[in-house]
Amino acid sequence: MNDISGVKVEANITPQLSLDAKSTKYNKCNFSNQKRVVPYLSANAIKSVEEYLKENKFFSREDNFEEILSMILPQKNYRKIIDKISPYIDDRDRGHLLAAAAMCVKEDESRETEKDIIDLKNSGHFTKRGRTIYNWLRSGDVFTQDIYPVISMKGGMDVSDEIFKKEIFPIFWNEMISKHLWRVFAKKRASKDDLVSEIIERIYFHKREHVYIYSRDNVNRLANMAISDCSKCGGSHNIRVSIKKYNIGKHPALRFKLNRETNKHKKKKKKYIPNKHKHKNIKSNKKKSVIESKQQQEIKKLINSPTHPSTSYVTRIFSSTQNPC
Amino acid sequence: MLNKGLIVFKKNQTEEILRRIGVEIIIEGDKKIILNELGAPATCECCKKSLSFNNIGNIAKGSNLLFCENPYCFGSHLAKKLFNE
Repeated sequence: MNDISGVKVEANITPQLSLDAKSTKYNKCNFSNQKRVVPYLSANAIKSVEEYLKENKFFSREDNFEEILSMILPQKNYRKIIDKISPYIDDRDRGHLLAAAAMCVKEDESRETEKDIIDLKNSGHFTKRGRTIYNWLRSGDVFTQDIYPVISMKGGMDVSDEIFKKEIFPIFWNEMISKHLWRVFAKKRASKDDLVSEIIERIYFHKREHVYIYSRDNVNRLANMAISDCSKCGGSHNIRVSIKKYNIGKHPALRFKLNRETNKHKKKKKKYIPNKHKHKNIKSNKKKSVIESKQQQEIKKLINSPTHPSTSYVTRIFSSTQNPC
Repeated sequence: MLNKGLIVFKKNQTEEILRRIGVEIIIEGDKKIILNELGAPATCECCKKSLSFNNIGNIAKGSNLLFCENPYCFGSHLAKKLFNE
């Protein structure tokens, strides 16, 4: 392979591209291992990269070869990405994202990050929204194909970079909003104007006819005020805003935690066997019958026995009749 | 396979590869200048850096695209082609 140049090489392309003794060998085994370590690029994405490289044959220099391969199949680090994205995201969403990312990291790297996850769950971030974000991260549509390759290939790109602002972040944000267009969460410390602006954004920009405000009991008043304001702003538009209450006791994360805790100490329930009671009844009936039969036998014995008062009486009579004297 | 697509060359082989592909090279005095399809001095497709034999990192045979040695340039080209379109 020392005479790698031009057309000759194209004809002699082998699955194993060994360059020198010093350089690393990329063969089928290595490639499959890399795939396993870095599963976040979806199979379709890898295929598309392969096809593109096959169609347009690229020559790459020795020094760049490894780096390029590592970029095409980069090592994932959700946490870094989240750190990059988080300045642009609301506090609540940041929590959800962190929780979801922590779950991803735990699953992929199989490290002990349970503490972090439990902390996040306790903080109330890993709700249904967190789960949906987690599913979205795992879905391999937006995050893996659109956002991550660009971020990774840009390498040390700052969050303040214009490309990030204009190209990457909108995809991320719009995708996130599109899944939660119908609901607005009323925060405890949120102002009324913020709530109203969020509702109006969903109604006018995203053209939702019905928006739910998720509020706890202590924020109901604020939610009601927001609704009244929205109805004023709405004018001729048919705006429907309603409140959905959720209590702390019914919080999905807490419920999950409670279930986990309680399940540990729970004793095993005895299985219900429908025939068991029947058996019991049969047994008890049998017992009863045995007892009754015993009693009857005893009675008979007693009756037949000479000491029994009744028999004694009879014998007396007989005796009296037999011996009248 | 992915590694089938990438053909690796050494630094001293760049000139030979470029000539075989059909890239024009002009000698002006002591310097050798690489020209693109339009006849102008070749630049990196991504960062528009002027290219010489020392700093060429990747070459696309079909479309005669030239990239500098910075791997992010080639990576961004791939990303644009495959994921952004």
